[in-house]
Amino acid sequence: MTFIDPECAAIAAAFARRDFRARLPDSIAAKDPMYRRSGASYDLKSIREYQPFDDPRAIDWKLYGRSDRAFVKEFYDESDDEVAFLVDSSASMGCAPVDEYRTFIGSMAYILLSLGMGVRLWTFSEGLSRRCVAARSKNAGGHASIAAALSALPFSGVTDTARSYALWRARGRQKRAFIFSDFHEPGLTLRAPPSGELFLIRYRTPFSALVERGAEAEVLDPESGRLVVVPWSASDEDAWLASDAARDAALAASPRSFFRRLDPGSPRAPVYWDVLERLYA
Amino acid sequence: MPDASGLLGAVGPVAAALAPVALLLFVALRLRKRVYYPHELLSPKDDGRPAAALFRSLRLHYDTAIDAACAVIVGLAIAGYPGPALWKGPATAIDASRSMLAGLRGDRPLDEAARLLFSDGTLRGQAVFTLGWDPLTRRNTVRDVTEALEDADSPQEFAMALESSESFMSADYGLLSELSRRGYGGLTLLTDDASAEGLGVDVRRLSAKPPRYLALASAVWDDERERSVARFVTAGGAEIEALWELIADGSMRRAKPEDYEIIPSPSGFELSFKGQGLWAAQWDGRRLPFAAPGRPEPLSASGALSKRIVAALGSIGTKARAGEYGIVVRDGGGAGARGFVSVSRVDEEPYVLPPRLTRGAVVAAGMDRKADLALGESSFASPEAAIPFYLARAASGAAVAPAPRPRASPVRVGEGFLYAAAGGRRAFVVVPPSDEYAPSGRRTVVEAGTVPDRRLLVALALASLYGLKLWLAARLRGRR
Repeated sequence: MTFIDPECAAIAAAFARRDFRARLPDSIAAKDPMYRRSGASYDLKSIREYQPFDDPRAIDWKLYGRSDRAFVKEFYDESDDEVAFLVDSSASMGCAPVDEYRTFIGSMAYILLSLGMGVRLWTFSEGLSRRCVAARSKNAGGHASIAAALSALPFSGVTDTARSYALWRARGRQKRAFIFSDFHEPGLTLRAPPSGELFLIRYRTPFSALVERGAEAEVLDPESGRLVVVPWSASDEDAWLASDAARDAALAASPRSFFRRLDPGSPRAPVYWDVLERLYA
Repeated sequence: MPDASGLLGAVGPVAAALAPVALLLFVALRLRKRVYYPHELLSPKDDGRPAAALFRSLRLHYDTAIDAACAVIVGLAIAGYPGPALWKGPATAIDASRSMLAGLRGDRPLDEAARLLFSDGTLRGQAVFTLGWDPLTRRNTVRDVTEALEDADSPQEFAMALESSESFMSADYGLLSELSRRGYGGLTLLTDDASAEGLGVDVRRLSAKPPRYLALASAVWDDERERSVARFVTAGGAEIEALWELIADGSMRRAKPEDYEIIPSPSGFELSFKGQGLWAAQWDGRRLPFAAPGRPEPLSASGALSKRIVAALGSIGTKARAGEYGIVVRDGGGAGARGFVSVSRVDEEPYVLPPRLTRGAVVAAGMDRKADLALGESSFASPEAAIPFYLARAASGAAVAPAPRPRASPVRVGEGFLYAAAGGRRAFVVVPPSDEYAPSGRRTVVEAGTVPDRRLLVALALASLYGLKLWLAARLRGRR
């Protein structure tokens, strides 16, 4: 499966027409690497002799010591064009419709790839996955690798979002990160990367969609294995909605973060658009 | 406090009522849905409180809990719980009939009853009622006289208070059940009636006096003598001292000798008059009012069958009307209507006429629920078939015309009451029944009656529980 919503191509095209900045940057579009824009990434572009207009701080002093001539290193400017996807693959996510979850993430990746951004995807449960999947284009197997990673989501293990995010902060260099999770951990607070942004996409099934009012249910926690019997009444639902709203508010209150809750079955296109609006704000 | 054995008897009904509740609980548990969901996403409001387990269970099974409570209440109600409510304590009832005034003042059964209430420690402090008769409504009553007893300083004063407040005509012991219904238990009846036997009632028999009375035995129109005849029975040497003519307003004037004839009889005497009238016989200083009936109206007929019957009886009237005092024989329905005897023709006669119409004579009759008399071949052939018509006519001539409710206030006349003429009805008198003078010898069983179960309490409890159930349902389930 490709996990792409059919309207994704149209959304990407429409957003590219509307926002000039969303068009493919010259640095990405240029076929000759020499014409790609230099920047501050770790991806080496070239080494050339020092010119008067160069910043003296860019001089490679090791080369100067070996050759007695001043050289500077140029790097590609690409760090701003890659985003990190942290995908919750714990057992709790298996309670929601997982294909819809995969499709949302796959579609989001497709749109970003279409707009010229790179996507690097990690999965997490107790901790961050050791390997990540990187894609730089929607073609040439870029999105296919994302889709393959989404297909392979295990939906097992216990969620530890804070630890996983800390691990990513230690490894990842992206300034913009997306976390897809149900955020069921109480008291969870996440801080955006330095001079970056954090996108929190909450995907969870309302409990009222599972149990009718007035009924009772045996609720099995997929992560802890505990079983409790829960009465579900109007007051219970009201309390649940209140606590859920408080959880949403706490997540949305993080500085330099973007929060959206996505319910199963709800329209996803507005969320895509909102994300793009924020991403290119 | 219910005893243990009684509660054991309630186990069966309660268990039977709980069985369907348990079945519903079992089915609900079987149908309970299992879902997978992170517990942290559920509302944590139930956790952490010591009573959370109890309330959580109640919220889970409030339906079943309320149904079980209702089942227990219904089961206990079936087993007789809660028991009868005797919350008002014991009570004493005084027979306020005419016989309680027999004898000389101070030595009457009423005086003895008053002394007993003042002297008997077991009766002191109890609520006191009288079983009497209300001349206004002409119904037997039970009246609370506890305040009169408390206000009286002596038995004599209490007896006088009762004499002024009670009519002392007759008493209905059946009204004791009314006291039970009101919540009084441990009833005591003070009466001079030697034939009264208590069933659940402590009957205190007062000393009855030797019979000395003058009572009316019958008052009929004698067709042969063309006079109205009133027959009296006497005992204990009672004799008529004077005869008074009653005026409609309750006043009296001495009867003239030419107005009546008096003839002694083996059991007493008989008075005969030229026509109908209201009179009062005086004996031992007392006055007994009575009515002498007039000539009954001839029978009238309405309908072909009725006309043939009345013609055969030889007293057909000129026109048929719903008379006040006459009797109209009519065809067809309308059984039991006052002033009418309805007849119908039937083929089969497997029954006899009602004894009230034949004075016990066996007269073959058919069955027609709509008519008073259903007559067939054998009925017409029997000479006794005329009895019902004769009796109906004789009854219609009585001056004591039955009135459903007197319109004027009754006037006390001696031992009875005079009801003045009103609304086209003749004046009539009401006197104590003959049993008040001469004991009938029949055994009278005085029952306390059954104290009603506290069904209202049970109903209120059930209503409250189901109201709670509805409220919880509206609150917990909400409205969609």
